[in-house]
Amino acid sequence: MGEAVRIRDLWWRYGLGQDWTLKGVDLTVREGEFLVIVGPSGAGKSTLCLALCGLIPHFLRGYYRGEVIINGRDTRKMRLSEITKIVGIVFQDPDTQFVTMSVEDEVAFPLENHGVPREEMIKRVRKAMESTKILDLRDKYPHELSGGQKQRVAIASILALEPEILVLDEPTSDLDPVGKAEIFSMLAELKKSGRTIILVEHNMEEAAKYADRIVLLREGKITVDGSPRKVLGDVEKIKSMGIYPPQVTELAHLLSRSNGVNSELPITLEEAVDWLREMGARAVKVFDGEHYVRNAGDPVISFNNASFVYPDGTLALNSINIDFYRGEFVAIIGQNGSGKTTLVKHIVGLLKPTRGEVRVFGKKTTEMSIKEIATRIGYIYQNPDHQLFCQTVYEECAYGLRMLGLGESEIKKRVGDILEKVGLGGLESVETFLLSKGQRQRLAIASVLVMDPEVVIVDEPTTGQDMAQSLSIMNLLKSLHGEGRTVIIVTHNMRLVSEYAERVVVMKAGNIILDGEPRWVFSQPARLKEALITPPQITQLGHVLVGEQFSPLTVYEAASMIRLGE
Amino acid sequence: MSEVVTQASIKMKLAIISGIFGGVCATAALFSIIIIPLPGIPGGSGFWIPAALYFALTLWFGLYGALAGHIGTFIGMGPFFGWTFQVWADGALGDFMAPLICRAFFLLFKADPELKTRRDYAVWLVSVPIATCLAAMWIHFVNYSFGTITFGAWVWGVIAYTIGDSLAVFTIGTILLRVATKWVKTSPFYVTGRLL
Amino acid sequence: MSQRTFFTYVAGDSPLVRLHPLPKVTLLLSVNLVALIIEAPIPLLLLTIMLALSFKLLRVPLIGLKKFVIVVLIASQAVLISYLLGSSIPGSQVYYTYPWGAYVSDMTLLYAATMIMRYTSMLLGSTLILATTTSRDIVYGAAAFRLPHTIALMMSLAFRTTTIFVEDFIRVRDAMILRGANFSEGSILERARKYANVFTSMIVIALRRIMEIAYALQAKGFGAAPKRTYYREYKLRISDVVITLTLIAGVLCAYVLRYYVGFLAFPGWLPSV
Repeated sequence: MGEAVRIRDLWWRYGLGQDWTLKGVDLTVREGEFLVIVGPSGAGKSTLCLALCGLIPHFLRGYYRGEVIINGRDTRKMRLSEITKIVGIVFQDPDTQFVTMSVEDEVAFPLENHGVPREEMIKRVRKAMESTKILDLRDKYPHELSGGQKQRVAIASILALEPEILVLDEPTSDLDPVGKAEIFSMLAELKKSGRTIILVEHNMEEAAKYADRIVLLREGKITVDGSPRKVLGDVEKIKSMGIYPPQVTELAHLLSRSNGVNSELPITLEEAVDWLREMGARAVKVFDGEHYVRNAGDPVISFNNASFVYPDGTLALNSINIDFYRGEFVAIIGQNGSGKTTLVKHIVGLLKPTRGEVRVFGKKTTEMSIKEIATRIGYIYQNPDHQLFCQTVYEECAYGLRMLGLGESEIKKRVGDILEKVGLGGLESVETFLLSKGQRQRLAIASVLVMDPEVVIVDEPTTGQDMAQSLSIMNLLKSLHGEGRTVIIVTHNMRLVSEYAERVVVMKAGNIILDGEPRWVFSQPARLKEALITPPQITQLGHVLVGEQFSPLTVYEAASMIRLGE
Repeated sequence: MSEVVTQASIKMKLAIISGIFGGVCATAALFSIIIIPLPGIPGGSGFWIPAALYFALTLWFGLYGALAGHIGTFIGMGPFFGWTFQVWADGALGDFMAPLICRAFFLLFKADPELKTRRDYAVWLVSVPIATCLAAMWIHFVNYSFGTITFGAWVWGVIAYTIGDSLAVFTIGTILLRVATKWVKTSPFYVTGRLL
Repeated sequence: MSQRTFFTYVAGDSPLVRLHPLPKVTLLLSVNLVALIIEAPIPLLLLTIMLALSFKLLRVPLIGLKKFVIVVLIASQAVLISYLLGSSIPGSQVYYTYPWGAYVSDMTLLYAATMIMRYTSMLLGSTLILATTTSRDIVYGAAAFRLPHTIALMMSLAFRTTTIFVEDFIRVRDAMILRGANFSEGSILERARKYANVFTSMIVIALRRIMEIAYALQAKGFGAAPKRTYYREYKLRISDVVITLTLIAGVLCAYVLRYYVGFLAFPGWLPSV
């Protein structure tokens, strides 16, 4: 097999940046190879993608050294339009990639730009839609599709150009578990057709199934390069670099270490089942499947037959009855569009039920102002940019306190404390616009927490964050929970749900279909499948190995419940 | 090592800057009319708030930023005033001219949109009222020509518009220039040294 | 099946949805031009009624009818104030004379009413067209008029992103409300200051977004070929040509009647004149 891409000593620094984002990257990708690039936030993964598709140096301003060779030619000596015919790139957010109002027009758009004759275009558009399984969506408005469908449309529009190399920059980070699976199975099909695939991904469990090779990028340099087995098998090393290994690999690593076993670690669920069976593993504890029932006095939030219909007629909540109690840590899960965000918007009063009632601290939300609710319930958005509107970090945190009418000395004290707590101490005078995404996320949290709410609601707290950042945010939420506050998170990340939540609410099409402790919820894969949810990998392993009565929630828990060699 | 100083193509600037920021200005116009209705001059505020945005946009992106103001005002006023010739020719065209006049001042006096020095501020403070006054004269002349105002209302219209527009530009535009110019300068869309 | 347009959903078989972009754009221009040419009250009233009825006939939903009427009333009030306080239009009866020389006559009231109808008909006409427009209409309409595709894409992006930014605006405003801001209190200046925060935030969001959209457009080869091709074939049917020519003829006819015959001039076709 020949070389599809060769990168030699590539350095890049953005115009505004003081530091180099890429620091001498050397990388070769073979034709037909499925390469996965991993690394913590700020490692330079997206920048490397931009260099691969020629946007660096053809479109961005900065400082460049080294070379990127595509099909034997230096990208600097090629026109961007030539490069885009060979290298197709798909970005993280499909919504920003759409420029037309129908799926079919969207797929045809790149071909029109390249002046492809109409007859040829018709064939290619159909082929691209078929290979991404979106033919039946051809007349739909792209923005109204589900997350997975949107991303498939984005990929189809690039595939229509028939590029030899497909680069995907975190295409699944905003998707629900089923959307993620859709994209990965589609990539597996594309790999079979012989295309070179370069994927930037945080999700090692899916990547491990398909990748031929994994490279780890850290601080602008490739620090690890090898087969998935070699890279993921070195569990301690990749964890130290801020990457989550697959849960089954981590489990096998723990069991090997404690039992003195020295064998190759499994990296997929199927391999783990075989590995454990070979090792003579047996479960020493199973669960009785008891249902979590909290009995902690009056609920702080109550939905009584609450329904909500959007002005376009969509029934987003259907006669919801649920109570949330003081001091709970609740995760609300469900596929995109299942009503999760609508539910929490009712709690903070941004939406009022069209039928039924929602009560917070005993009072109907229809009889309370949002300001009144906001003093006791804090709501943190998924995208921090929607929540930051002041010039500096200090002003951002002080805003809510000023609205409450607090004195300047009290404000100063509270802001100082909260910024220290979220790790932004010393950045008070920095302009919010110049913060990194992780810092902005933490500032958004701080700006709400500074108001000292009794209930904290966080919508997708870890989307697009690396392991270290996710852990830092989740540990902050855990500490708030430890202080007796009620924490409610809306998330697609099942690993976090099983590790942190004490109660899980599963939504489907505006209804609550499951509500209970994580183990009870995750031990019902059939019901979860209805909501297009898959349990965490470690729980799935338990189900395959023993049955649904064996549902470990974390790797450490599973390790403590399994014995080898007897 | 080579420094790469790229410039987006004219096509890209037209599509991205004028198109996308046209959408932003339209949203600003739309909400300004709803949120800050001016007694006797309904829709007047629809010109004012976007003005703050496209003055900054034009200082950053030149002609393409001014076009964004023009398109944005036209679209944003549409739900209330129709996508009519009148809206296109008066406010929207006025909103196209005004920030370009301000940009001409910046180029003439070599001022920096980052507003770092006293001179930068002086040019900003002087050019905005002049530009908005000229735009106001045009806008009310068109309204007069279309028959929706009388000549008597022209004088008062020009005065009110100049004050309203300038206040909005100084309130929001100054923040935008101070906060974002440094970052915008590194983008391939930043236009330097030319009026258009 | 309904068709998604920039602002609403329209029945897929509505004649306006099926119309070729060329007569559609011509219709938009004609309605505006004719409304501008006519200065006589009764013909303008007829034009306004005809346009209002065509929403029903062409099965186009009149988005937010209540809001529409309120807007017309508010705008009418501005026109009325302007004419009542600052015009001198001779008539058969003068009701009031101001110290600064302006006066209110029967013709002042009639002219003000005529201007309100002019404005209303332009508003109705352009809403009728834009409510049924998709990005495809703009792209193919521009091609039909031999305009560069970039202009069409620019307009299409501006219309489409407006709906996206409206959502952004509401999110940011809600975030401020959740932190205690009250937008319904305070003077105009105070409210404007609160909204300054929202608009600043929106510009920041847009600045981040433009780079992502620019990357996507570059990746899709925007501007790559010297001559762009088109996926869809919009053939002008005879009916499209007939409609376009009829519209142009209508505009010319109105022009002749107004400036050469004087029929559509003020006060023009009035039973009492």
